[in-house]
Amino acid sequence: MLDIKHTICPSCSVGCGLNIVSKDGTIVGTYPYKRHPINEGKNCLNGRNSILQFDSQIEKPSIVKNGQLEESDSETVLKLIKDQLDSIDSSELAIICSGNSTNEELDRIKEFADDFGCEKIGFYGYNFPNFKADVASYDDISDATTILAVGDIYRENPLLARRIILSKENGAVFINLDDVEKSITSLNADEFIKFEDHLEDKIDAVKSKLDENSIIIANKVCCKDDFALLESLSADTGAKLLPVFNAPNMKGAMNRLESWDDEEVKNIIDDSKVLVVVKDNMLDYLSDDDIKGKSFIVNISNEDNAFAKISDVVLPGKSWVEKAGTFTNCEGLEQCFDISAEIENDNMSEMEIFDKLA
Amino acid sequence: MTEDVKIVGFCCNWCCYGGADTAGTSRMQYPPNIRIIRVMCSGRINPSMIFKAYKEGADGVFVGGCHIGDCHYDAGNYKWNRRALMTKDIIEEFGIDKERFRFEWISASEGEKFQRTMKEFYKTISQLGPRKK
Amino acid sequence: MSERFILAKSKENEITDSGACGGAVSSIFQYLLANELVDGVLTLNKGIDVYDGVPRLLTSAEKVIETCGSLHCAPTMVSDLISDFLTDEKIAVAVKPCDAKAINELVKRHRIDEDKIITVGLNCGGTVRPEVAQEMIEKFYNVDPSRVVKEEIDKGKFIIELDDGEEIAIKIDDLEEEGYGRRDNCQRCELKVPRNADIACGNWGSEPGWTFVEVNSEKGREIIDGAVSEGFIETKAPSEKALEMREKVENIMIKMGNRNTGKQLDDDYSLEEWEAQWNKCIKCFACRDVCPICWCNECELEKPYFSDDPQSPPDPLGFHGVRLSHMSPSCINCGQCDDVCPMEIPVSKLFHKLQKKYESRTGYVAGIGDEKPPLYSPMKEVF
Repeated sequence: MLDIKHTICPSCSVGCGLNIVSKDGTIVGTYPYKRHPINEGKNCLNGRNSILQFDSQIEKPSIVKNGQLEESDSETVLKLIKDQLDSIDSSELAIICSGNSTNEELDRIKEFADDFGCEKIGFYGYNFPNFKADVASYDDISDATTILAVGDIYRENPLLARRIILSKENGAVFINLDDVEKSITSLNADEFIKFEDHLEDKIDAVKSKLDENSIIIANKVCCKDDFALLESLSADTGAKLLPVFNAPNMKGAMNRLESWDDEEVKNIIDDSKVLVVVKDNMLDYLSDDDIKGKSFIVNISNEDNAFAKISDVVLPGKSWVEKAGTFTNCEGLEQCFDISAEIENDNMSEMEIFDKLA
Repeated sequence: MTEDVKIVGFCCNWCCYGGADTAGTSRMQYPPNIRIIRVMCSGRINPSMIFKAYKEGADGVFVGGCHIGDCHYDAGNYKWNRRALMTKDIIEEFGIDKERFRFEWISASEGEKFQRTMKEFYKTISQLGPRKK
Repeated sequence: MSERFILAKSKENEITDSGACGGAVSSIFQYLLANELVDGVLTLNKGIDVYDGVPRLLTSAEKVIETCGSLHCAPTMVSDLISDFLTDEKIAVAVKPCDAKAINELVKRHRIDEDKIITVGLNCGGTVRPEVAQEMIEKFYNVDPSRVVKEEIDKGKFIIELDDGEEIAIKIDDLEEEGYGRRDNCQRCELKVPRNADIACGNWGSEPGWTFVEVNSEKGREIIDGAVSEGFIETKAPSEKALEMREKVENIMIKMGNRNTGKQLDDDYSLEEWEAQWNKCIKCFACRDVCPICWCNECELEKPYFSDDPQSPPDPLGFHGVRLSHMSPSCINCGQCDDVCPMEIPVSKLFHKLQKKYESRTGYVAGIGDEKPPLYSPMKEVF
């Protein structure tokens, strides 16, 4: 049976709509979701390719032995985790979440952490600190007279680049700041300013160009200090700020949990005996040596990757097409989505996992 | 003629390549700017091969096949002819002067025609100059 | 019965209430499913509202009721759903003229089996992008877009029906002058009655309660005859006046299409403007992937010899040029490539322009007839 259902794209935090095509319980393709106000049926390659994760994924709860996954069952794996949790002090547990979980799941995990007495709960924020101030909306891009982009927005977040393009057509000036030689963003910018390592010495160069009708869009910062520079640039000039993240619900995570940088995550790993990691590939930002052999790693993710192989137990949880919930996109819009494909599998959802562990 | 131009020439094995060979063995001189790629038949050339040549920096692209009616594979040059007309339409849309693309029917015995065509084409391309990148 | 033009009406009342007009299309689908002549029916369903069209495969006659009514704010394309996912099944599908053209091209390429598909065409005056439609209804109709329950394009007007039954109509020309209205491709479209489908249905020239049906193929004839004899629809002959009416409406729309084609394609971008457009390209393949006709097991553009520096836009000729050389002779002007381009590059303009050029040279009209573009012909002919 062919089925086409709406969902929210899981590839970055722009929050595009995407239709999932499934046939007899298997994901077979995507289809443009033209009614969606953010992207009007346009999706980038990353977005359309987000269904490729189903080609190779971890399907069963597993125990990792000698770097290999051995299929097990939920009861056995849960018992292993419980035994570990029972054997430690509440300060020895750390929970690493990510922007790949829904707001509802993050709330549930937070509740679990509170009940357990665990204070080390957060996520890797790719150098973006918690940022509670108002962010710019996509409409602000259309209305802006000057747009400053930090990073390669055209390639990383094409549907945000589209807003820049439309705004440029209305006469906006577009400045790009990046540490690469060139990018598609830099080639399309009216002005490209290259920086080495840190933003610091380039801030003055752009300051005079920004005012309250400007907007600063950043999808890459190399440290929390650099972000602080952008924040003060925004405060000094009146320009609105829009941080863009690489996970669909990073903004939701920002609103709920602590955002850590790699040093902070490393310290937390060193101080913990049990590490619960939910839908995050820690090898994206840490090395094998930072993680391996330091704690009992519970990996809740269906992603078949190298991190799964250095974990101790793996619970697949549910993929985003199998669950309903909300994602908060980078402009702060909370978008509800429903189950977009009826896939038959008896894995526990993240909600159920934390219910059972409590 | 300021900078030297690069010309890629696709020649079919049975006729035009033979024509080039005839020109060569009879010591008929033609501009060295043309780099010949031998193909079995003009009918195996598709527009993307021409586009690839431009992409890699060719200033002109030449294709030579058998005279209509003489194709070694019966109808290959008819097929190429249809594609050539479309190729011309497309390159124009991308700002490539259609003079930079030429195709001709040259038989194996027509060394003189090959020489003349190459001289003419070289002259045309030289006048147009190298393509701006 | 062997007339080409007939008026048809559903014989079940619950369908007449919710159908676009007359509900004959729904009844025909019900007939096909109830008599197991097809395994499924692919139609466009309302998603979250009238601006959201979602293709749905229905496998039982009872479910057809839910799908009645047409959506002009849902520029969908269904042919690739069939060629990609439904080749094993025998299906009937509701098609706009561009869907029918795409199916025709895919049948020629053996991607869809002609014997496994029944195309029920719906006359189409064009579609409006959902976001544009809502903005337009707010701005020009002064109405909250969520109050619209039905829309219609008729006699050169875009008509909306509100939840309280009120109808508001504005001339399409006026809307399009302001940059709203139908998609550019629909403005350029010259096929309004899908004569390339087995039957073509619509309300142009029909009487209230009846659907005007044009039978285009032997298959179409059998379906109509079957649906009548099984008691799903009743038919009668249209009056001379109705025929004239319909022709008049169609001609007005075609004339509009011709005029817009000239206007939009002749006043094309300059080479510099195209260069700026190509500069935005991120080579995301959305245009290739969405093209209903473009398919290959191995795409030439993914071959190493056409790879590009990922930090730059692709070579325009080496990417778009290659796509044009593959697809432009068969371009059906469905506009899906424009719709899905994240960078707002109006690629379809070039495809349509080159198709028109190809058409004038070779006489090949994409999406119609039994022959592939002469480009693929093994014959010794100049075109």
